[in-house]
Amino acid sequence: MAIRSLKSGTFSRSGLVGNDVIMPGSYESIATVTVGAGGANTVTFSNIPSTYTHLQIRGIPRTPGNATYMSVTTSGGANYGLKGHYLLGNGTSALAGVLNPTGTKGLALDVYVGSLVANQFGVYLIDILDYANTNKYKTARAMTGYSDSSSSLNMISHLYDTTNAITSITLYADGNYPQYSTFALYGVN
Amino acid sequence: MAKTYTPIATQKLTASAASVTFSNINQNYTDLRLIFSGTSTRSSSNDIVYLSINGETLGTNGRYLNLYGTGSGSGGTGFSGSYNILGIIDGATGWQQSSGILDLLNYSNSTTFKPSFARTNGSDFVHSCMNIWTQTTAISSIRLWTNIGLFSAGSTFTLYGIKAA
Repeated sequence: MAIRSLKSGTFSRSGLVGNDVIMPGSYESIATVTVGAGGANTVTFSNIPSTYTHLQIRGIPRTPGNATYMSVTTSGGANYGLKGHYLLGNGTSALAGVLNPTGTKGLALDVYVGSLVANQFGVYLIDILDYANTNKYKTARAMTGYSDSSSSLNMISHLYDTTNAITSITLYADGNYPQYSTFALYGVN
Repeated sequence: MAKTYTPIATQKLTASAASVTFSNINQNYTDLRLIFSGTSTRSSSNDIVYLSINGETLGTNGRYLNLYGTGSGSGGTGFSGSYNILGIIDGATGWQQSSGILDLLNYSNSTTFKPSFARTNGSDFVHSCMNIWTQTTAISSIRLWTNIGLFSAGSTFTLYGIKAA
């Protein structure tokens, strides 16, 4: 929730810790992928315009028993991430740990997904911050999860060690993202 | 590119209330986001905010998994096999105010169960919650209600629609 100054009329930061200010009109839909019959091993958003400040991916994945990952591509090539951290709850324990890239899959987006009932999908809320800034490494934060007695809720951070602008994002699923998994990319100013 | 993130409705309570409902929700968006700011009237303790969808009573077709921290220890996590929640909010004590965000994804499709992700924070906690509403029906109304107290006067609730290209 943004706070508006009565004196200047400008908007300042959110009252909720960790959330960027998003005002109506500063949020644009870039692309959407809905996985068809047969599933998809990867979902890629490519040719991402560099005209936004941040990117956000909102999705409903379904990957029972399998982990998922994210990597990015820049003008310098693919980047599978340098390091990440996670905090998760699985209904029994709250756990924290370090993420290292898993080969060309990238950094994990969810740490554990158990069995799921039919029709059940999870959540991806992923922010890629300052993705077009050429003066800094890129960071992403992800809130992901599935709600079940054998699943997890994850709070995740990723570091991609590149100063090049991100032009492409790939989501990777061990196994497949099955039909009806949906992912939407937004630009935020 | 298509601009989105559109305010659908806002409710600001002029008196304390047991619940807040958004009904006849426009079905033309992909996701919904609810922003909350306020407290419960419960004195000297936090309160739970439940989420009911499409007029269902608590414990009908929901599940949640949560993760929270209270400023000490390693945090906690829990699971419920029967209902959805927005999370924990402050009770009415002094200056305390809670904020909350609830994201309901792909709420208007008629194919999948409806997942949502919520997080709240207050004077002595942070709370996040992964919900699933185990119905494929599109969501046309949501109701938030407190466990013990009421939503305090001045509490605000704003519902936004987000449409994918």
